[in-house]
Amino acid sequence: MEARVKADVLQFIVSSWLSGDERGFDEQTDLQQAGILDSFSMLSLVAFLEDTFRIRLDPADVNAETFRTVDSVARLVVQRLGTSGAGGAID
Amino acid sequence: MGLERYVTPWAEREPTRIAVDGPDEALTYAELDRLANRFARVLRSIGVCPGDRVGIHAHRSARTVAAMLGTLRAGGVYVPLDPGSPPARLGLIVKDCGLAYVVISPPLFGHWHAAGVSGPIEHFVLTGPSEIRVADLAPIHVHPWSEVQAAAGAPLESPGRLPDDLAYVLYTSGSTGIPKGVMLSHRNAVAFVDWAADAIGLREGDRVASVAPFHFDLSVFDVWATLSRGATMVVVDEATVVSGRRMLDRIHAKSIQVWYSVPSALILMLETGGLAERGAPSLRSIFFAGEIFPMKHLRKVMAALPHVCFFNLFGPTETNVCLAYEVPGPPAPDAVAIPIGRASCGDVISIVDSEGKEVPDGQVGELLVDGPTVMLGYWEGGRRTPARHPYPTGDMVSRRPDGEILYHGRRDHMVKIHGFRVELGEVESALHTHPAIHEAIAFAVDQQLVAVAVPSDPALSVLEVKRHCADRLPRYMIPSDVRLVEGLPRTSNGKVDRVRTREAMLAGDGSILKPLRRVEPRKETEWKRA
Repeated sequence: MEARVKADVLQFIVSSWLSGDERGFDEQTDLQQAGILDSFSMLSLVAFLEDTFRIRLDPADVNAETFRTVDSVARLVVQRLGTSGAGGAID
Repeated sequence: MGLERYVTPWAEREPTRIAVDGPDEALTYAELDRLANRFARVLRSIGVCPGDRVGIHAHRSARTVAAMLGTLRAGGVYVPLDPGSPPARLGLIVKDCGLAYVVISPPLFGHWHAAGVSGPIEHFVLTGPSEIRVADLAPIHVHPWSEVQAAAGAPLESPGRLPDDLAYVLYTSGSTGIPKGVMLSHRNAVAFVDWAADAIGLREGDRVASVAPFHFDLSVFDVWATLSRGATMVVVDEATVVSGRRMLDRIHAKSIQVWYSVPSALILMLETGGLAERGAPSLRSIFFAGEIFPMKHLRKVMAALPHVCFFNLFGPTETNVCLAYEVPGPPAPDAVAIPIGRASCGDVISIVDSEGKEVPDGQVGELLVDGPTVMLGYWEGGRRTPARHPYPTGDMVSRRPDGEILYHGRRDHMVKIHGFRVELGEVESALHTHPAIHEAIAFAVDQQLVAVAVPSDPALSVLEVKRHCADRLPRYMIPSDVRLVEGLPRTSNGKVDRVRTREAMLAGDGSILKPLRRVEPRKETEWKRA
């Protein structure tokens, strides 16, 4: 489950902000240090997560720690999927 | 004093010295003087009166220079027409400027046939033999080369000019896409020519390159400063300027001493011409202008030519050159930019905020220029609009405590992204500091900052470009969309064509902006499924 979420988030970021060029980018890349996430791209990413995984993210969920890497984003998504019981919405 | 008087004293003193060399023929000062008189006589005989505009549609050559000089001696105003320009654009300029007379090189006649010449042109004067029958273009009168050759080469009566008389009109691309003419007087040109020849220490007999097209203001130095000092203009023709190796070959073969071009030409010699290995022992001075010289390239060019003096000249076509900076040595490894210097050519500058108030040192404001190089005005839509004084350049600059001026970009390159003011030039400077970025430009599209970059190393990734920006720029200045491409389109002046880059990117035109494909096909398929 987490692997699939990771793959989807990774692909979304690569196609949205890296012009499809995944070289050098992986689950551990620091999204802010790499200049990928700012307050505006963060909003698009949150919208993508909410739509794709049919979850709701609280403002408290959205912070520098949870949005540091693809790994941390995926962990958050899996957590929310677990609590909201909205699993199976990935496809 | 008009530009047309520069040549005769040298024709008397040094009649056999070469005035213009190449590309296919060389003319001595005496020959140039006589040929210019012949052109002037023909032009007068067909009705050219003081103030009349004469189009010059020819590649850079000794004869073309004679035609320009002849136009001025007839009392006319020369309007260089870009030989590489499509017929439709030439048609616009001819109409806008009301060109009744065009001096033309026969191989370019095809352009006019294709365009279906109509409108104001009444006379063509040829600069060489042609098969075209005079009747072919009726009702336009065609004056064959033999008519020019048969005219008397003896001096003719001076047009009796005033310094503020119009000397030439340079058409630049207006922001609307419709070309507009910048009107420059003899006073404008002479102020620059005298200053530049002194600044660079131009001496008689020097060999000066002509690299820039005649419709580009850099050429005013190549032609008129050279002829004013009894030096020799060496044509580096259009087929040569596209190749770094050929340009450097020409410098070596012709022992060129003085060179004035956009930085791109020098970078081309560095990267594909072997400048670092071969050097250029004959070169003494280099002027560069027209675009920002990325520091990493300037450093290498200066290191390859340690004996050469480098000057950064600055100014829009409307003021020719109004600021100059002599580069003291290769920029330090951490230097992001060099100054554009101090006021030159007798001009006076000021830096103002949006309310027109002078800003203190260190603060960015718009550069205003007044003085002898400020144009007479625009020739646009068939009308003359006088220049504003002082002339607002649209360039954003600041003054350092030591008095040197720093350039911060065009006012219209200042964009707002989500409310933040972003100077595109600053983003570009940051991109250029990356060792694997050959060149890059930035622009805004719908609140998004876009960077298009040409890597010099194929290993460069988009992530690496973003990371590099993130280390140097505030978050809102990091381009959200980075495209890596094979090359950028250029204008006929050799500068990066920003308008076409932006349009090609918006239209997804891969023939102009060839993407460097780095995406593995398998993953792409997966995304499509997802």
